[in-house]
Amino acid sequence: MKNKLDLYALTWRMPVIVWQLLFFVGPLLFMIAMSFFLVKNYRMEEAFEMKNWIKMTSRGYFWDAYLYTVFLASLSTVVTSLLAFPAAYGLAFKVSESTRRWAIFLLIIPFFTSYLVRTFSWYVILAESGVANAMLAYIGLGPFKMLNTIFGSIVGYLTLTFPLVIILQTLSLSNIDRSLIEAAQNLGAGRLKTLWSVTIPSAKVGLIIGAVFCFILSFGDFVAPYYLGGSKPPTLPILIIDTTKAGQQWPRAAVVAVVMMLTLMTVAYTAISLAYRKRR
Amino acid sequence: MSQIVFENVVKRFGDTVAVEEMNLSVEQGEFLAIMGSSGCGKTTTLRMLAGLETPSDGEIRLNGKRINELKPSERETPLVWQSLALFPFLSVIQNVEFGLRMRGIDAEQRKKQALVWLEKMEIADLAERQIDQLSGGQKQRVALARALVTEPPVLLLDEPLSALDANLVVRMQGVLSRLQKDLGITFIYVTHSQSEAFAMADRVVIMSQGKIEQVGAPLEVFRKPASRFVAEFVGSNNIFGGKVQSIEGTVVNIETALGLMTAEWENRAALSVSDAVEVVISADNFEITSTKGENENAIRCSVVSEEFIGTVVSLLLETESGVELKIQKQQREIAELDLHVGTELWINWVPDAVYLLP
Repeated sequence: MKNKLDLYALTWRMPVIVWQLLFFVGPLLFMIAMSFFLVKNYRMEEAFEMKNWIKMTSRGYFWDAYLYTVFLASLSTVVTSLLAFPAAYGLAFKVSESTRRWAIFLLIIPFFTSYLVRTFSWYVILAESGVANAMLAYIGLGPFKMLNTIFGSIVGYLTLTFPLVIILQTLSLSNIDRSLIEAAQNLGAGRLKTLWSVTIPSAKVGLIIGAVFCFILSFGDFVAPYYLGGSKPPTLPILIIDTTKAGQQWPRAAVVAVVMMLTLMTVAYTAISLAYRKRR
Repeated sequence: MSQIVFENVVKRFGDTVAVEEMNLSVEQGEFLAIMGSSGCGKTTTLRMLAGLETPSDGEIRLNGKRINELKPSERETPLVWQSLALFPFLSVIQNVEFGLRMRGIDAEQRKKQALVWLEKMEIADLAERQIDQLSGGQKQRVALARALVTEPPVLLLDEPLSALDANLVVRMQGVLSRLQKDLGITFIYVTHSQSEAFAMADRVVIMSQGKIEQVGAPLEVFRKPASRFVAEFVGSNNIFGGKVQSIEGTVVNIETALGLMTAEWENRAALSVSDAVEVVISADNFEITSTKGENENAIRCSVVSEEFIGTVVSLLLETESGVELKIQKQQREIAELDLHVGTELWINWVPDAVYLLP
């Protein structure tokens, strides 16, 4: 009886297992394996050597790029989360149910168009003689250098992550049990104290998951730091592109990719445990 | 001076009127129950007192001062929610400390005070637990300790016992009654449960469709309902339509489907012969006998159905002329009558049992 039941369950789980193996575990294992391959005469050869790892991790520019990417992704996470919160708070508490639904629908629309296209429109806006500087000149300011700066990169990351983070934050805030917020006020908490000691802790899981998504997307994004950030100094995704272009060094690019995967796994795992951690 | 006064208070939500022209005074140290079916405005009344709703019109005063515009956080009117609304991300003691923390009391002092209240509620050993590790009754006690820790003059309770099982409800009723007497503060208790209201309250307010139907001591509300609504709402009353046949001073003779009845009339309004009136006889005010006794107010009935509810049995009887009667008796009282569906018997009532609805 027990066996039969297991077989039944297994049959229905098979598609999931197959897809996971085919499209996630397989490529991942291949990428890890590839990081030990060698390139000879612009051709990849199967091998199991530490050369790529030693070469990449002993280079200063690799660690510079690593720290710079972590810094940019962290900055993007903080900026996006802080900018998204007032919007999400307003959508969750200050508008009607139907307005909220429409707002979420509208926030999904940006994902209909290519992220690259949206980034290029920023290129026009942020350029030295672009729309933004023209408007600033009108009120007697500028011109400011906005392209090829950290500011440019952050604008690009925001284009990628902002709508998603607002949606995630809105959903988590609007799911808070309203009586908890009323209870806080009832027990003597003013607006800010209620926000800090009840609203944010109640929505903690959603807020952290929003931030994790923002970090993951920014960390792995090539477009924003390349086109709007000017690619100097390079981030890890830019380093991957450069490495593959220079002498077909796919194995070395794989080293970068594996390091990125490990970093993201650590960050995501830490953040999720933090989100679900009980006090004491 | 009354501690809490509602003066012509109105609350509208768009086009619907939740509370209509409410006038009510509550004395310091009173246990007041507000009772009514869902949507009658009882919870809205409580929420206005806590500042969670603002009255559309009228004035609410606490100790003589108008409080309409005070923010919830500026009032000393803690509320115990139906859902309890305990903070799941805080431990038991952190929940209890919350009100003190918001008032800026230092950590050591608030911990001490919180522990005092946990001890009063007999849950000091649970101080470090998480909320989701508690039973229903324990959560109830945490919610009470959290509300009372700031020593407020008034405690508001919004159906706090409705999620508990019957045994626990009776126990918590005892806890609440004793607590209220010990503290000497005002409790305003909203409930749809008659047994909870009658068991604990000094005075009961019956509300229906945003209006107060009656205010009075539990027994008064039970025995002398002010309207047909109250008569139907509290307990199992038999209500008969009738016609005034004659009036002799304060005694009125009424022609009803059960024959002639006499009732006291305390001259609350003018009454004249042949007026249509309603009389009430409570289900527990009938005597059952197997033969016609000496009492002239007796009538022959047969049993339609029998419902056993613990110590009390609820009977539905029918007279020969087809009038249905609800009767409640102690189980051991009627055990010897050996009743079955269809059994014929006699019921009678003393004149005192007949109450004329105003």
